[in-house]
Amino acid sequence: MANICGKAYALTAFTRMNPIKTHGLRLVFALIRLSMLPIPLPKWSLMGKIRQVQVDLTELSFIHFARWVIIERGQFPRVADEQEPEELHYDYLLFESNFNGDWEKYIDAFSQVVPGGMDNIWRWSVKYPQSRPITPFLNYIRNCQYDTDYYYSAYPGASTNDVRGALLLQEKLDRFILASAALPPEQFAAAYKRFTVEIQNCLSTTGRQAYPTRVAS
Amino acid sequence: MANTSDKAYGLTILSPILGGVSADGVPHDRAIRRELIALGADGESPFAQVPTTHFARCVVIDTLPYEGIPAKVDQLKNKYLLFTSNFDGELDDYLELVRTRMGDAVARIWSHCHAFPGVRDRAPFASYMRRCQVETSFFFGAYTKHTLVEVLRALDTQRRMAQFVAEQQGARRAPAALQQAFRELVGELAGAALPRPGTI
Repeated sequence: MANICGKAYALTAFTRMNPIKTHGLRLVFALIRLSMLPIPLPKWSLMGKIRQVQVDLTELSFIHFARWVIIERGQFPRVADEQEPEELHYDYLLFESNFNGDWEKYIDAFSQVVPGGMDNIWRWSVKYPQSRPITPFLNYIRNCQYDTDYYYSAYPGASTNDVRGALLLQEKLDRFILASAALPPEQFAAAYKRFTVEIQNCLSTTGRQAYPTRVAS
Repeated sequence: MANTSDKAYGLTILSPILGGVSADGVPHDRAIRRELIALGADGESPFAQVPTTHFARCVVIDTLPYEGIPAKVDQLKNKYLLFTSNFDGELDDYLELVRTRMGDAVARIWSHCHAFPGVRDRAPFASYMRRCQVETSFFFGAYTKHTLVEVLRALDTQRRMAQFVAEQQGARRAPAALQQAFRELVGELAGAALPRPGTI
């Protein structure tokens, strides 16, 4: 199944928006980008709440990369005279995500953890049902989803947490190598013990998930 | 710029697919799907030859969603090849890597698209891809401060370190032997070749 590459799942969905409402979504994305600037923001403020959505997204920790792309109705590329121009009523919002785990858990987690954030992005789309309750939301995404024809991951056996754990481990290990280089054996052994406790959460196992196989008869 | 997040770039390309049928007598969109199915997977993928690509996908967009009345139906006049990639660095450098490292596959797939200039020359290829590019509105990644090389190196370290810790737990070595074993691991890590993309 091309939506899956190892532990990663490719979600591709198009939803459509009345062109007047597209301006609202552009404002939301502008606010999100503003909230990412490295300036202190009180949590109770609007910008603080928007920043929190991103923190929540990161802490969901199963998204490698995701993107939203607004494609206005006149923006579908036309590269040749013989190509017929499109005549569309709506603008489109492309959502693309690379995550690990299964589809329903992913959408469910979105709905539970960042319902407000997701609603602010998709509320501009035609007939968007809100992220809660979950059943209409799942049906909506199913209707808008496209199956992937080809999917590639440079590390198919690694989940998002595997990657984040590995990067953290590399950082800690580099420090430990320097700090322990000149220690006598007894002190090294004690430091190594403390180090292994410190990195235990970074030592996940990477590798492909096995596809179901025929049971031997 | 919305296409980027730290060191990562989110490329979105929509290439209009030719109408009619290809030389094989099959519609061009189906011919693209055939080419995509024939591409290798994981380490055998042509994308594994482009050492800055984290994730990439191709999707043939042949219809647009419809949510039922009272919404109007939007009918596409063309089908589109959606190509997205999450990679490190600048777009021009990436397009050049794609052209030179996986040019054969790109030529086979995109030859079914309108006005594709081929992969022989850098400028027309980059110009075509830029004409088909759609600006990403919001791009998000969990580890965008790190390049693919750093990720692959870290995953390899993680695998070796996990194995080392498990072995030492069982061996219950004396401190001097443990320290010697750790030094050997450090030497092994320093000399280890970078895993090929798609193989972890």
